[in-house]
Amino acid sequence: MKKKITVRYFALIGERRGIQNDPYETEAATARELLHELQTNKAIPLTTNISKAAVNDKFVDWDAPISDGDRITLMSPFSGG
Amino acid sequence: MPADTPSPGGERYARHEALSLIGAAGQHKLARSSVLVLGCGSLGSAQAMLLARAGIGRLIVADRDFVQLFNLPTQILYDENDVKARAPKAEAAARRLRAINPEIKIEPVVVNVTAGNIEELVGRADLVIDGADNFETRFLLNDAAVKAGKPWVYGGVLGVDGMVLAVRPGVGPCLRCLFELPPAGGRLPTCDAFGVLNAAAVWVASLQVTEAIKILTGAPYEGHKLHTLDIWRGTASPVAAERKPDCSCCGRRNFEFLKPA
Repeated sequence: MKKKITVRYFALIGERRGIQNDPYETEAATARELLHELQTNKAIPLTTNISKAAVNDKFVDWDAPISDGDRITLMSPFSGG
Repeated sequence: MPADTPSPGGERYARHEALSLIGAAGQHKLARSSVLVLGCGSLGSAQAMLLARAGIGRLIVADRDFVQLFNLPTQILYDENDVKARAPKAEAAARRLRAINPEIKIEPVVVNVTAGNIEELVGRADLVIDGADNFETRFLLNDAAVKAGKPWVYGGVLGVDGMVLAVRPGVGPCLRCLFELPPAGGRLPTCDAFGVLNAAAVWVASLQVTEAIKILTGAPYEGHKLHTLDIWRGTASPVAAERKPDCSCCGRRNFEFLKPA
């Protein structure tokens, strides 16, 4: 069954930059599966070793489960300064 | 007052001492503290200015670059004279900081930070505040600071967004607990390509300085979190973060960035 989640893209390039709450439906069971899905569907340039996922404002491992209604934040570190 | 005996109290720090979160005791701790500002660009400029005004006893300002015209909108320590003189940022910063607060020690270091000198630089201060503009320096700093058990405050800015993490080695997560490796060059946008809003950089720097002051004054610890900031929307969201037990840096203490390639 598809889960309805929202995805926040923190500081990515192009049109996804700064999107706060992007409604998304997924069958991904884990953050890792979601990332792989978004790499394919939305061409986001993140990989697991340079980025981090948070579920409901808490950082999680990539194998953490995703549940219906979750708010997922995807981010990579910033280099600017 | 001699520069080697910074002494709070009196008129200069009255507003900070009146702040119950700092008080006279906190101000004395700041006067006895030393901070390394690593990188004096848009973040480092604002950090150094705030720290000098706050009466940090000894400030080391390190940078490898010269002041250029395109720096002036975002790097608030410098002016046209520095551009004309092609002044090294560390030296221009030191001149300005001495004019702001002659009661503290300012040590400029014109340096290209490498695995060969980062540990010596980190060893010169009680805390390091990150004003770097690249991942290589930050991962070097993370290794060196964790190895030395020294707190440092990560900050990064891009466009109108920023993030801040106070790293307390042995207590909370380090940079590599969250981000295992620096993104490869060209993989993610930079301020050169993407731009940066000056106010966003100052906001990030302000939060970094606040975290530094909290650590130096011994303020109660409020848990591990990475702050994400979006100044265009006016939002700041903390994300709870934990140490990674098998972290290459703070867990296994394999300081690979400090090792020669």
